[in-house]
Amino acid sequence: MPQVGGCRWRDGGAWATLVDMKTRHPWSPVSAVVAAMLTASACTGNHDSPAGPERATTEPAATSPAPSTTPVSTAGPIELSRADAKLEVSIEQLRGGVDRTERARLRAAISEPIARWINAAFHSGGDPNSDLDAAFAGWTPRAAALAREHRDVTTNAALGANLSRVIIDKRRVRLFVFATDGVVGGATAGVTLRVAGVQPAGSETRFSVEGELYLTRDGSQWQIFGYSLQRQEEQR
Amino acid sequence: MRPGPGAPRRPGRALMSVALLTVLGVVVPDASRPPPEFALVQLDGVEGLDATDDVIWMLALGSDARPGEPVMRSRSDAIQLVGMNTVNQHAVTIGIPRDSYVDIRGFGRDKINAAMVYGGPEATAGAVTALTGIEPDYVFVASFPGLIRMVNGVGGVRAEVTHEMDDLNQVFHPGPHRFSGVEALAFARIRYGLPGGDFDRSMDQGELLAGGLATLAGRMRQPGYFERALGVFARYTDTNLSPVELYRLGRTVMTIDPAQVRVCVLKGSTGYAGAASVVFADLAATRSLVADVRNDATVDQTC
Repeated sequence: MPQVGGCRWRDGGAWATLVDMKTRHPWSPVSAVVAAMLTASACTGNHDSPAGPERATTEPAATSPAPSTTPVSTAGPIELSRADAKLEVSIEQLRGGVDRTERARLRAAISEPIARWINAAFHSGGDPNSDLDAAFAGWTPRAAALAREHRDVTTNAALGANLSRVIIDKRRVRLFVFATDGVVGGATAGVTLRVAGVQPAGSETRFSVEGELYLTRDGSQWQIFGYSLQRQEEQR
Repeated sequence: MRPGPGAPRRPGRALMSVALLTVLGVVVPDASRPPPEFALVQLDGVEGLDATDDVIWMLALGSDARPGEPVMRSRSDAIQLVGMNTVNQHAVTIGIPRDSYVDIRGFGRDKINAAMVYGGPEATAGAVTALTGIEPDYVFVASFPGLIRMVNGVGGVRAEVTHEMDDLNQVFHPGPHRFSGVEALAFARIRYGLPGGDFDRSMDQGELLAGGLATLAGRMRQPGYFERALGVFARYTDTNLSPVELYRLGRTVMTIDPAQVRVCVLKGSTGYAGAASVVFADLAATRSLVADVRNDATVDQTC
C-alpha cells in the first residue's frame, strides 16, 4: 500500500481520494509532521469525537421534546390562530453510523441556534432591528453579515419598528443530518414559519418564511453557515 | 443566472408579483368583486453561504490504474483543474492534455500523466502548478471503478457528445446524452476518432464534470439528497477532511451555478520528444487564460 504523507494518498480500495492541500500542505516539513501525527485519527475520522455536541443536554426553550412526523403543508393562504405555536423539530434523516440514542441530544443541539434565531428575529415584539445581534448569534460571522443584509426576509424587520404584538403560529423544522463513521458533520434544516405582526393601530401583516438553513458545528456549538429562504407576504 | 450567495432574488420575484397584480387589476374590475381578504404582494427569496473560500481550485485526476495496480501511482488519464467562485457562482474547468510535456519536479521532463507514477498526486499537482501557476487547494483522485460508481450513484450524468465516437465497446452519436457509469468512463477515455485527439478528450472530460454538477444540482431539490449523496461519497472516499470540513466544502461546491460553468482546455501543439508523441503547451495562451481566471475562476475571454 503506497503512502505519501500518512493517509493522504492511501490506496485502500476506496473509490476516490480527496485531499485538502491547503491546510495540510504535502510539501511542508512542518505539516508533514503534523500530518503524520494526525494520521491515525484523521484517516479514520475519529478526531471528531462522537462525545461532542451530540451529547449536549440543553433543549432549546421553545423546542418541542417530541419529534413530529406530521407532513408540512406549504400550500394555500396563511391562516393564523391567535396563539403562538411551539417549535416542532424532527430528524427526518440520520445515517452514517450515529447511535440512535444520540438522536434526541442531536436534535436539541442542532435546533438550538435555529430556535434562537426564530425567537430573536421574528418574535422580538419590539424593534427587530435592535435584536439582530441576538438573532444571528448562532450564525457564523459571514453568514450573519449576509443575513443582516437580507433582514427583510431573515427577520421581521420589514414590519417596522413599532409592533404591538407578534404571533408565530407555525414554526416547524425538519432536519437532514450528514454523518460518516458515526461522526456528524452537518445538517440541512428545512424551515417553515408563519408570522403575524400587529401594529399599534391594529393593522396586521402576515407572512411565511420557508426554506433551508445549513448548519455545521464549531467544536461543540452548532452554527448556521448558510441559508436559502423565501418570504411570502399577505396583507389584509 | 442564479444570484450569488448573499444576493437577493427579489427582482425576478417582484416582477412576477407586479405582473400578476397588474393582470388581476386589468382583468377584474374593482366593482365586480368583493373586497379581497388577502392579496399576494410579494415573494422574496434570499441565499447566503459562509463558504470555505471565495475562490477554490480543485485538481481532479482520473487514474488509469488497472485491477491490482495502485491507483495513486498510476498514470493520470484525466487532469482537470477546476476553479470555483462561490461569490458569483461561476466556475471553470481547465483540461490539461495528458500528453503535455512538462517539468516534473525532481524527475525531469516527461508527459504530465507520468507525474503520478513518479511521485503520486502531489507530483502531478506540482507539475500543474509549474505549468499554470495555480496551486490547487484540493486534489481529488478517482479510479475507473470509482468514476463508474459515482456516476451510477447519481443516476447518470448528462453531457454533450460533439463527435461520433466508436471505441471501448461504446458508440456515441453527436448530441446530448445521458451517460451511465460505464459509458461515462468510456466517454472520458476515448480519443480514437476525435479530430482534436487529446485536446478533444480533455474537453469531453470537462463536459462530464460540468454535467455531473448539473445532475447533482437538479437532485438537490429532493429533501435530504445532499446529505445522502455526501454520505455515500464519504463512505467510499479516503480523505483528510473532517466530516465538518467535508460538509462545508460540499455545500460550497454546490453554490456553483451549472449554467455558469465554462469548459476550457489548454491550447498546444503536438510533436515529438524523442520517439514519444507529446503535446507542447502554448505557454502564451496558457498565461493569458490563467491571468483571466486565477483570481475569480470566471472566464471573461474565450478559452
